[in-house]
Amino acid sequence: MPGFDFSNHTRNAALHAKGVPLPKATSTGTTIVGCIFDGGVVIAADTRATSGPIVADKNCEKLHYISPQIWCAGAGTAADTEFTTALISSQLELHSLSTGRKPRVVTCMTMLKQHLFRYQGHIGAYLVVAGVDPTGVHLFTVHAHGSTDKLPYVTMGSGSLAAMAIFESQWKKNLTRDEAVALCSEAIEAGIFNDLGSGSNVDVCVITEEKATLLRNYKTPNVRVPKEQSYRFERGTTAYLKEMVVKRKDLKQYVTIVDLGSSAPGPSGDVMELDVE
Amino acid sequence: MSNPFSINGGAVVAMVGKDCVAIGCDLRLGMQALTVSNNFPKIFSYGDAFLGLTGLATDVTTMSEIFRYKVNMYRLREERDIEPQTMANLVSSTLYERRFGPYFVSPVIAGINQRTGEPFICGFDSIGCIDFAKDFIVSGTASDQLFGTCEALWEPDLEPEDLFETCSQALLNAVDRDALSGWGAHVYVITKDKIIKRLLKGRQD
Amino acid sequence: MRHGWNPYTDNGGSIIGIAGDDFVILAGDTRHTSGYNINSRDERKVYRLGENSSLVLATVGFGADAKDLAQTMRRAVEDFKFQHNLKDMTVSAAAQFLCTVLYGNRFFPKYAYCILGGLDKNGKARLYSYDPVGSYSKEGESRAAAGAASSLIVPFLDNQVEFKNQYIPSSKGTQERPVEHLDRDTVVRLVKDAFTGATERHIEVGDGLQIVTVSAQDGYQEEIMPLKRD
Repeated sequence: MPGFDFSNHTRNAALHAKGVPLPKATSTGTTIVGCIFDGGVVIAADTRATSGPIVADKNCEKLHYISPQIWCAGAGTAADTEFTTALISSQLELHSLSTGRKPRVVTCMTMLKQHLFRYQGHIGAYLVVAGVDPTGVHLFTVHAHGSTDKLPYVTMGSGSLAAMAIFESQWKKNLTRDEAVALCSEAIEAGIFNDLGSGSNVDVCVITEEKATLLRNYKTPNVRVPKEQSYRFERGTTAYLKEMVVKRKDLKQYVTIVDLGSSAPGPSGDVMELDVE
Repeated sequence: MSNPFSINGGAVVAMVGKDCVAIGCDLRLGMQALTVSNNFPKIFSYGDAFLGLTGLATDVTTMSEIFRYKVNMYRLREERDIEPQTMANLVSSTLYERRFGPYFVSPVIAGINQRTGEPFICGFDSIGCIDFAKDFIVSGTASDQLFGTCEALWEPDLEPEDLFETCSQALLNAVDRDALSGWGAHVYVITKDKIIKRLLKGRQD
Repeated sequence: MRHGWNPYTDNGGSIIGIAGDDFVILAGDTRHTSGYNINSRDERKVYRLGENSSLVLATVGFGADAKDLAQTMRRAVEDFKFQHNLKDMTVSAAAQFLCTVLYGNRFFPKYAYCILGGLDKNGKARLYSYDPVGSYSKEGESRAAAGAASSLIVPFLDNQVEFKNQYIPSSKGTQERPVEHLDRDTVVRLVKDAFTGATERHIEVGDGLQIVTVSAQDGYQEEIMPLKRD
């Protein structure tokens, strides 16, 4: 059955009432920007994903595909941005086949806002939606509670202030493609260096009337310097008590349960293939 | 009452080497300060894909059984083994289904794609956000310590024997600094044609 | 009653101390943060106490308290000479003094984790680490780390300074690798790699690395090297 399964909700709510804190999901910290230029739109994002103060992923992808000429940058809870954009991308493709027309950015925006509003902000997705469709070039922001804005240049995420500082000083109307890409990339770098929640590399996506080009790792200003020495260990350094070698062709067809009656090792009676000695 | 991720304790690490992957886990099962078992492995194999699970022990067991069911159904329908990349998406969707009442687990997948021969690892948060890494994935109560040891000790293109040493040293030293993990460790080194599983000698405290 | 004002702020950062045979190295990153913002990329955390003494103090935690403690210790080391006929304050005396200062604020603690290092009267290295209310071990330690990335750095040092979990390869897991004193260059390399690793994975660590070495032969040396700024 599709959709959300709420059966754990009662258990978790009871635990939370007892004082158990809710789990800390990966949040993208993030700086994302979008900027319209003469002939299309550019969106860009950093590539750091954090879990509290720890960097969980140094090179994650925050630019999501919605349709061939509509792309979306996502900030907020990483799983939410990933699944929400995938869901709307799928719905939009079916819609496009049904209408026989290229999908429109406003349609994507409307589907997103109606989905997010239904969940009253509990789905933590903050998105910058950009694309080109038969009606023209569009750039929107969508907030987790369901509000949207239509603007010529936007920034979101924890690094949005640093990025907006760059936009507000240097944006002008009718930028060229290269100027827009350079401006967006500079705005993301401001976020990367001045916001702790953003870091690593810059991803850019340029969407024009004819196609969309994803420039993954367009800038990599944070390559790690080589380590001072290698920490390779001498073979045999680690002590082990038992060893088991299993040739791949010997693995059984299915993962099975072994009856408790026999001398079965393992904690709860079911034995994995590799545990059979 | 405390954080469900640190009631039972546990640690899992996965690393990529040259045409091989390694995945290791500790063996402790606790009830906060009390150690209940020193033989609670947290890595489960589903053909080519190895799944490591840390977090609340009951959810670790439940998830391992749910995936055993789903992988078996996949094998029946597709008449072939599941590839690690596909399993990653399966795990991600299963976790996101429970977006508003999640399982308290942090899964890790490691395996070698049988068709392309490429090593594959990835990690997830409790609601299914996939973290594709080229180097290593860590999870569990000792995750901070594991980040420190892995970031320092890992280097690219390690041969299977060297990868075993690096993965084991990273795991053992990290869990020795975590009160809720340890009591022994399992490390699997997976190459295209064989899997070597070793039980490590570690501090029993 | 819920208070809307918190007297402490966590300013991030990390410090590390490693003692060799006759030298001690204290290092700290130079990033000063609050929340997701960077306050400074060059705020030093390792202080020299006294002009000619071998005492070095590194403090991390709440920046204001950390700095204040360093000032207090500096003044104490200087005053000691005036009160004790130009004798230098020894490492063990400074260590005990710091403990007393910290415990003196037991009911409104200085939110700072300290690492104190120096050479004793035989020229041997001594290292002491403290919690915010003054707990320290009189015998000293061989290595210590504190601050945001301490949990990332300590296990790495366990493995590379004390050779924990390492066995002699030919003994098949029966003989542990013997612990021996490391030379200065090896230790500096370990410190650099510990910090570059911590910078990769912890958002509050970065910008610059300040490494201070105090040794019997070469005295006081300080090295600053850049770290990633993202």
